[in-house]
Amino acid sequence: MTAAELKNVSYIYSQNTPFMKVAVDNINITFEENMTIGLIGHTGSGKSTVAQMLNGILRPTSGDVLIRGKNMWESPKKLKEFRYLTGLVFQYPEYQLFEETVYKDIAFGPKNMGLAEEAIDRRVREAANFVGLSESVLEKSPFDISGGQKRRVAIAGVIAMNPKNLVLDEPAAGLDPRGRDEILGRIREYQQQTHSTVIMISHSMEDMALYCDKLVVMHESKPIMAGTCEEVFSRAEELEKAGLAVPQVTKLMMELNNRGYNVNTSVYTVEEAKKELLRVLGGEIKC
Amino acid sequence: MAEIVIKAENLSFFYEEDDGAKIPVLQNFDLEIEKGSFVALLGHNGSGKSTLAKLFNLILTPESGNLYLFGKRVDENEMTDDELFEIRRRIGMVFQNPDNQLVATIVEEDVAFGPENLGVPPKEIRQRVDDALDFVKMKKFARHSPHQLSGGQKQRVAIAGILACKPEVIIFDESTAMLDPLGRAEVMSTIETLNKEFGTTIVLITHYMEEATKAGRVVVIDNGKKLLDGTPKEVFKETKILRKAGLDIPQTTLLLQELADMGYDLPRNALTPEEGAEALAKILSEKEKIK
Amino acid sequence: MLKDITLGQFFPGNSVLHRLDPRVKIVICIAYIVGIFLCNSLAAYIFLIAMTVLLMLISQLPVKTVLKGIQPVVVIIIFTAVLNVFWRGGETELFSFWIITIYLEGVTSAIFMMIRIIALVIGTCIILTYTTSPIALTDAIERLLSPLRIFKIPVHEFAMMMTIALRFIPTLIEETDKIMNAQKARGSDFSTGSLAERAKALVPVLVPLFISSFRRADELAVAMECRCYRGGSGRTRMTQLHLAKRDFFSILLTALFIASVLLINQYFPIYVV
Repeated sequence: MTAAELKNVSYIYSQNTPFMKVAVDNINITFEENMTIGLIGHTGSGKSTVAQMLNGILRPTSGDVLIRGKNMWESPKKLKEFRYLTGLVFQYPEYQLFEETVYKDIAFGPKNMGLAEEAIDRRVREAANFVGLSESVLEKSPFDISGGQKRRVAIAGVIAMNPKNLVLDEPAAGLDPRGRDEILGRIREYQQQTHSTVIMISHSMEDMALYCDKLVVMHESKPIMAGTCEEVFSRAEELEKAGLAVPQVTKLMMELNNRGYNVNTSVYTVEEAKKELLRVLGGEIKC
Repeated sequence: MAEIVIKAENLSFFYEEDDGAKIPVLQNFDLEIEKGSFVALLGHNGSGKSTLAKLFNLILTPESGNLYLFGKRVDENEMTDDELFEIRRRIGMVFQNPDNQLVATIVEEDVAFGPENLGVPPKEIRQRVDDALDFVKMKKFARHSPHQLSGGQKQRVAIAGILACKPEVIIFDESTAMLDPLGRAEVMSTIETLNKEFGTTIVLITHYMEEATKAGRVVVIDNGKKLLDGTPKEVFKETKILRKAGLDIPQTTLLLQELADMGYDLPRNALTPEEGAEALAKILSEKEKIK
Repeated sequence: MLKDITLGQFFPGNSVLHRLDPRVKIVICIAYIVGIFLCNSLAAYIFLIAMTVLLMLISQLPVKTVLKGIQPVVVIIIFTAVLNVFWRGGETELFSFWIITIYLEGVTSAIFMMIRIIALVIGTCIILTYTTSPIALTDAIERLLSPLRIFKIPVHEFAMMMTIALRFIPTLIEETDKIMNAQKARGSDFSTGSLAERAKALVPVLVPLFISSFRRADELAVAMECRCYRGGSGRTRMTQLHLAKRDFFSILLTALFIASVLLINQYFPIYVV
């Protein structure tokens, strides 16, 4: 079974007005189960629209959204169930916190689901643990903690709903390198422990390459590439043409290729680049 | 030697918690910024870099230490309002959130806001607004409303608003943190031209290393203390210290350093992929010659 | 979506109405409203409709857009009409059923009331909101009221507040949309349940909205200070308002309009109210 599937989906904003804009243009994307998938593209490439369609916030103008094999819009009454199936964390989610304590804020989602008190308590603590919030933070006001911690509370609030699929829109936006590595690392761990499907939206190729199993690249309302990181970065030149920044080491390999040295350009981490370069250099160590 | 526009001497600042406990943000900080230079203040969130900027603009008052602006020691108690505003005019500031610094509902009216406050004659304001919008390449959008613009465009309007006040120094307080790569590139190229063409002194506060590499000088701050100070090449060589300060290191730098550690003759301070490829190509071609 | 609200929106253009001095437009608008309420004969109402249509033509705005401006007040229009039809007494009985009696006077006054309200909304929309940028409007109000400064009334501060409010309305609407969606994703329900339940569902939207507004206000205040803002004293303005020929001409036309209404009332007195 696939985690989520978009079939011939289009989304048009402000249809029949002068401000009409096609955000997503007749696309087909399949998100497989039990992995972390990166959805990459520019602002305006349609990636955020896709995210909101996966959660049923937006209804496609045409086409079908299938979540775990079931059509989301078949009966709009059941929409809520689909929302619980696919959790969505918006960009800068810390601005949605509202409760008196961190605990209550994380419990908001599970409470809306009508869960029993004990189940809520268990989920809140589990979710807090996943994002790395200590017990002592739970009783604090969400407005008295640091920006990075707020972000974690907001993510925990969605994780606590136990979604089978978790979609995160730019989870690391605005964070410094330390905060970014921590949050992306936590999300990766969460995926591996729960075997759920995590879809991360980002415009950073470098980040996504490090934390995702597969990538989907969107450009001008359509997916232009999908596959493993190696597969995507082996087409680095196309990525550059689409105006997307490839990781520095990929770029370095392309430069070497341009200079006439035959190196594999589908590398994207320093480790791999080192291996590849040692291969061409013959591996001998000159002292 | 060039004139020193900003000089911090033993500057300290504490943040007071609700329970009265004082948390140090800056500790005995020394820094001199030369006129016309482009200085990047690099550090993770909470390292004290933004506090420093607010001290320079007299939004915050230092706990102890001396601050000299344009060669004159700043003493808030003895300063008249006019002097304060004159300093704010000479040291402009662009903030992080592009939305929260635009005042007017029309782009050109917003750019005019600063000079209007300064009491500049209407005709001259018009001229300054046109020039500033021209410089940031936003003239086309002069009559637009800010909410129709992208983040990068809004930030360029904010820059135009500061330029219209004719400042000598502009401080960018994480002005690219909320932008997408395209917007960041737009703003960065605007900043670079400003420094090169107008000789405006730039203080760029950031946690992105790619941006810091564009500066002439990088100052790394951690826990309110100066950790490193030098050209980008000198600073990015110090990977261990940078890592400890919670900062990124360019992939190219890391890769070449790791290879250099294995005995290859490669520079430890390469910053861009082009530089890295150049150096690698050199040793690859030598290897071929030996063959 | 919340973004689709059109009342009070500015449509840029280059008609004579767009180019008029905003101060003059405020004066004209007030005179026009006075004119509407002076109408009390059938001929005067017909004249009023003709003038409103003429205004619409001059403004070069699409008819659809102008008519859309009535949308928010449709309920008020219907309510007034119903009130007039059923509760107004009179002499000529048209129709009687059970305890309801409808008089000709009721029907005609309902029609004229509707014309008044529609003319009022369309007129102010065309003269002011649709053809004047909000900033020009606030600016004009500030200048018209500036004599009040001698009574220590903070006219500039008031205008500044208006400007900032106008600037942030779209931003806050967008933000409300975003927060609502985020809470929807967490299982909030805004469209079902009793009134009390729905009101309660708004708490998770309003709290973050207030907090973010305070944060914005704080940041904006610092940014304004950095741009040397210190209230209205010593401030100059980039746009200077100068009265042009067309401004004097339009004031003259407005005076003519009121005079015509009065004359028509007098010489074609088919009274209706």
